[in-house]
Amino acid sequence: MGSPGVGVLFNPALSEFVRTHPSSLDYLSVIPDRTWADHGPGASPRFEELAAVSHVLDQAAGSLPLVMHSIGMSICSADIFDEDYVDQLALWRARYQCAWASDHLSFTRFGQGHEANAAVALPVPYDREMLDLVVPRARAARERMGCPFLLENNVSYITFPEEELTEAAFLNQLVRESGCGILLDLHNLYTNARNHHFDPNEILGSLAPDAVVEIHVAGGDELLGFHTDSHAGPVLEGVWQLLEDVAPRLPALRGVTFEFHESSWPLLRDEGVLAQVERARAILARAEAAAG
Amino acid sequence: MAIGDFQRALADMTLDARLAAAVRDRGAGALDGYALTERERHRLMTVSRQDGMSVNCSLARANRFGAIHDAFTMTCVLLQSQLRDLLDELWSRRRPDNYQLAGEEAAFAALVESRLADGTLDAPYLAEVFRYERICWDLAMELRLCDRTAMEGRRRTTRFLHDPGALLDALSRYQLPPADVPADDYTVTVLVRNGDLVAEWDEAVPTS
Repeated sequence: MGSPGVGVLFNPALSEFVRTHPSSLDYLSVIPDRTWADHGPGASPRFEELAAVSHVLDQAAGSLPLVMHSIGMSICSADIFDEDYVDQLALWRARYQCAWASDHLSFTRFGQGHEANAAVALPVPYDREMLDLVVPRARAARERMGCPFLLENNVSYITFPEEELTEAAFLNQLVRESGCGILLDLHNLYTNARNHHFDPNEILGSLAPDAVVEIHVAGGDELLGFHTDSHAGPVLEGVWQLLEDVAPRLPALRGVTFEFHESSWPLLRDEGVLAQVERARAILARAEAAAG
Repeated sequence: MAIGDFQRALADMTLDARLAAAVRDRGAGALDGYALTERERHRLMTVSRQDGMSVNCSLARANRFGAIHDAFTMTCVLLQSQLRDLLDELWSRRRPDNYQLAGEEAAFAALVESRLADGTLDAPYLAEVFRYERICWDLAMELRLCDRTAMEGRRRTTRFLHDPGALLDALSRYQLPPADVPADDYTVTVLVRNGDLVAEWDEAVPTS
């Protein structure tokens, strides 16, 4: 396996950047859900392509590999596993030949009959019952998409008592039983550790090292006394430090992706994004040297 | 399926802070409508007392408001203190039904329209600015689905009763327009030019 690369998660503010700086990136991560309007299960047609954004991505795909990071699977929803949605992801994956695909280990969609949405990704308790729900779905998604399928560790502002498994144990079992990989979001981990007062290195030290395929790095800000995963501004120093610590220990790592919200573009601009990319690249180079 | 009811309860508490507060204050009685195990009930009562539950509620509201704000920025500025009550009313009636949060803008627009029509919503310049943003939003929705060139020149018109330049200039800077914006009758055309929306109108002709 080659050296891991560095990418950014596409948002509309990056349209010009990806056109003018393709050589600064190894790949572009894309939220496919932002390229279509989903009119809902039963609608015909259900998915309608958004031509303007697809045009930008078609152009970007000419000079950069794309990977996909979807937001609508809601794989932990007890009520819903939307196979038509997974099929749509598989079509999108095939169109751009994405090297891997990912989604989130959380739920937003709920309700039997009439579907509703929580409007924010909600965490699930790390119990055997949840593993039994998610494992076959993750396996099905991986098989349907025909590429490595990763699930991202969640950010959570609440904690559940009496969980049966630790987060690391849950993730390790999920990987072992489903064949999926982990998208390790270091800002999510940093946020949880800061808000709930634990040492993030405890989780990093317990994760199966060969399960982590992609890492997300990002910034955040404060709300109601909590650090939030808002993707505001550049990557936080504490997150860079976690990347520095963990990167040498991850033999299956294929990419580090910088995420930011488009509202931070005036703060970052080309120079700011390039600075994050270069810093990630330098850390990966040190990690590779350390790993021998 | 108990876990389904647990998730529905947690999501309902996230979308409706009043339910979260009721669980915190009244305990299990506020969860009677959900088929929960003892452990699930205990978990929901525990999280209802955590500050992080307020963060969840605030983020859900912020995410829902994001789409509305993007589409009706100037209307939101003009609504000022009425905005919060309007959003509370809107969101007490409907939950999002789509992971893309589609429909939030349309539901907001429908509520503003109905409240303007029955006279229960009023603010200086609100009706004309809302009508303007409504046609901009309609065009933007069409524009995102087609090739930029296919809509070149497409246009919609609306009527302003005050100088649109003064209104739109102030509101685009998130500022309330002055109370004495000159009154006149203007036809504003919003058209697609080079893939973007552009507003045009004739300047009022001085009468003296």
